[in-house]
Amino acid sequence: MYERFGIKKELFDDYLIFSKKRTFWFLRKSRFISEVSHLKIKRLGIKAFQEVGSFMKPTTRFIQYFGVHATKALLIIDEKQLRQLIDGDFLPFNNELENGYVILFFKGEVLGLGLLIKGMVRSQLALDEVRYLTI
Amino acid sequence: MYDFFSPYREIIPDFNSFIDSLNRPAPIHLRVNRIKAEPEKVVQILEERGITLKPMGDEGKRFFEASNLKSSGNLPEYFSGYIHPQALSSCLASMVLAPHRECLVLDMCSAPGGKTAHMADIMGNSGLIIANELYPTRHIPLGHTLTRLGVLNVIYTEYQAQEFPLKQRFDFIMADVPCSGEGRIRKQDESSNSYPSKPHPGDKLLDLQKKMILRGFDLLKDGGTMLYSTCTYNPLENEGAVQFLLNNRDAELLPIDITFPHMNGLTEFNGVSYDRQLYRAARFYPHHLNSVGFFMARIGKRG
Repeated sequence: MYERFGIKKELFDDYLIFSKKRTFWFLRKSRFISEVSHLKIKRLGIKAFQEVGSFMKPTTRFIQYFGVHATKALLIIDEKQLRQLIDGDFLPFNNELENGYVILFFKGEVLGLGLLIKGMVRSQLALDEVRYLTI
Repeated sequence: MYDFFSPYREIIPDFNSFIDSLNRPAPIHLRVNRIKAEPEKVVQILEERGITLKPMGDEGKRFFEASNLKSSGNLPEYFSGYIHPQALSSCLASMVLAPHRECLVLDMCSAPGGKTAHMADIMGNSGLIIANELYPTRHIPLGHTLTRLGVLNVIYTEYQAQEFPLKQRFDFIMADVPCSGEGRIRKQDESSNSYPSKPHPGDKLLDLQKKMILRGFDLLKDGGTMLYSTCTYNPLENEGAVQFLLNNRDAELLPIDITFPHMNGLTEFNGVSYDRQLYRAARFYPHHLNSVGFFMARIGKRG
């Protein structure tokens, strides 16, 4: 997260990371966690990452929460560009950045992620959730 | 509608206004999610979109009536988790329970997650909330709501609330129990004449509510607080369940100190007397609050 987005490692000091297969969850640290360990737990916190090929893909909800602390790999988009992404178009990214994920900012809000490949960004936003957004 | 609610004519003040209010659809209320956003910033963004926001209560810029909004689900601010559409009376439940930061909380019947997320907001996303929900299908909307709103202090469990394991005690418990849902009976929208179906609580439901309120109380730490709530007017499901608790445990009703309009709980209905403490419970009616009809009782376990 620091290498790609400039999000400082210390920001995650307050969280526990749990993993299962190729998925990672974040849970806020609490002195009560050991006390409730007898409970049959269905899930916890928020899903943070998923290993996708050689990439570690952050989830939209994770990046919406922590993305405000990012200092690089950011793409600020306007209404027209957001509509283009939702419609499946690619946006040019004029920055010398390695292929990988970029954080999409819209009107100061972290919307989620785009994927940069060969200078073009495609949407990684869940289409069923953003298709009908009133922009 | 009048006939259905006529048994409550004596207990619902200004009964004709109450009936009139049921013929108007409930407005959309929005809660600003402080876990992810500053209320002032969210208000500015929404007003720039042409959404009229009317602040509700004296609690600062946290709850709003959005009178000209048809649906909030297609707003980018919904997608980003800055806002949550939630009935005002439902927001009040978490406010009244008021869980502290760094404490241990149980939400006995958590789905769809609005109250759970609001408690996380009040707790500054700290401490730990056990979000319990029996039905697997309800875990999907529950998980969706809590992750969208950035709730990171939560563990999900799937127990029957009335049989939740007793090994661990909690500082605060939200017991928003299954109910007949009379408080939700209201015209669906301006153009239609449809109402939700009229429910009736069976003995099984009343029995379940009693078991849940007892288990909730037994799960409290000494000095802990539980909120028992329903979205129904039926005294059997409200004061009746609390009376059952008072008859069987050394519980006390705590005052509910909020500025939103409400009536005191009943101490008598249909010839049945309830403990005098019940006046400390709160009844919320749609013609007073313009939201879902609601009942809540704040219950303490002596330390």
